Amino acid sequence: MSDSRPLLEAHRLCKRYGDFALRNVDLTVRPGEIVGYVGRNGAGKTTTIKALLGLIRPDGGEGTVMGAPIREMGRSEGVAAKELLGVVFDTLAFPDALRIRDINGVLRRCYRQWDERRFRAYLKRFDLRDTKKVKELSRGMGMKLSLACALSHGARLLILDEATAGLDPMARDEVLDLLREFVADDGHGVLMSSHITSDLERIADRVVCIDDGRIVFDKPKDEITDTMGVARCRARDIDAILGADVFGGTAPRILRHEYGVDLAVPDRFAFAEAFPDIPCDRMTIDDYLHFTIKGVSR
Amino acid sequence: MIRAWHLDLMMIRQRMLLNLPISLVLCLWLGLQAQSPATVVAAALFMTYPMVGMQLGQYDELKGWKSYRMTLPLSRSDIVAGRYLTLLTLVIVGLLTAAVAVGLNIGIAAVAPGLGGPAGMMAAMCSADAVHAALLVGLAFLLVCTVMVCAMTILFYRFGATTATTMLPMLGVFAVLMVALFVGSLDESVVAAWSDGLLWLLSPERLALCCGICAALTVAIMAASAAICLRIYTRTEL
Repeated sequence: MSDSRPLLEAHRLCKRYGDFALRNVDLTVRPGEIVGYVGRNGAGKTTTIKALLGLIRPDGGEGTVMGAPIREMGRSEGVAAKELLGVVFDTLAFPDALRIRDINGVLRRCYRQWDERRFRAYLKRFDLRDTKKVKELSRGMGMKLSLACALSHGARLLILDEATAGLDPMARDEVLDLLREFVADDGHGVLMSSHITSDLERIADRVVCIDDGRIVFDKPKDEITDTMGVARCRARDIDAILGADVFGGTAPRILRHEYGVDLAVPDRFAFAEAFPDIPCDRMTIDDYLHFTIKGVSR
Repeated sequence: MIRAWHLDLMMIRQRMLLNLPISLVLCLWLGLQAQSPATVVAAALFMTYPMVGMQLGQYDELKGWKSYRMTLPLSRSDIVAGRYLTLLTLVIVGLLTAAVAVGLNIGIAAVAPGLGGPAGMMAAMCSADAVHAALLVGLAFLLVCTVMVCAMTILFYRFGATTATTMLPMLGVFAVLMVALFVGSLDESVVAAWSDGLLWLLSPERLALCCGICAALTVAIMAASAAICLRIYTRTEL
């Protein structure tokens, strides 16, 4: 596979479960990219990931993971693709009575390219003794072990589903460092679903947001955090601001609250020049999520 | 398939380590009491094959293992084929346990007084009649256990491992056996028919035929169950 081809691609993915429906989800992870996948609980993040991994069958749409069609992931055609895929769920799935060295033994037989030396190096780095049983591991240790497993067989794509949830800041730092190292190789990519947007601000290249089963935005992270801003306005300023040419042709989004109005601006530096008296803060991914999901368009 | 088999063995390893000594002790005790290899074979098979086989399905439901396993380089058909290979492994482990228990019984008879000595025990355990009986009982028991385990496995793949799907096949088989025993105890002609049947089996050719039928039925039931499970599992959403 050439390096420029996406590692993961989904096009118009659909899946219906009773009241919930995943609708026309488009998602791409290119080599060298960390894509943050955000959204509320029940928005469709895990359903998308399950569809991509072949755990559920989509009702519509197509996609590929490491070159294999997602509908083939459960068949023998998907096995080669899964050799190049590392997956970390929010819990460590191995049985409690197993020791870490047993997991090494099993995965060595599972993956053709299992690298025992690399696995042991990760254990050392994470301070995990291979005599420990799964039931003796804390949540953070379990996640680190899951990551060590996902990174020790020559995977090119990592899919993490809420893998950093519940970790303390130090453990999260270590995980993020590891992900940075992983994508330092241009052929590698990461899809990371998370509620912790501060983590994504630190490592993501692109942020994709899903709400109620639809993708509501797919933007480069730097565009959100480095260029966009939140103008903290008084209600009476709104009309003047909306009349000015600071929205670059996009529909402005507004969040009203008790003490005033927040306005999403596409270029906070241009806004500060145009309205020097109105404070304009840096936009965070959380802010952008709020504007997109809860804000109103004018 | 071999990878999936390794994963299954990993899941049941702890259970097997606990189960083997208990199974061995039970077989030894039954062997010394009954001095019949048929009893030992039946006990060893029951302790490993259905008992551990039942656990396999339950382990699938733990901690998202079912989903995680599908992210490993395995296809769904590998997983089903691996599961049936594991069940065959359990049968072999059960038979080996029985063989070890018979050997130990003879050894115990050599050192413990009142058991007829090693020659007596050898005669009881290894005579042609005893071996024939063990073969017949073992294969018949294997067939019954296979019906139970295969029904359980199909239900696990279709509905997941719940109390109902675990108990239903076991209760079903027991219910059929109980009805057979009850009917047999009510009517002397049924008992007589059973006795006649057993006498009819005394000929080596007929015994071989009966064993062959049991073995063929066991293989056929396993194959059919594997095919059904494969069909179910390729459509199951995890």
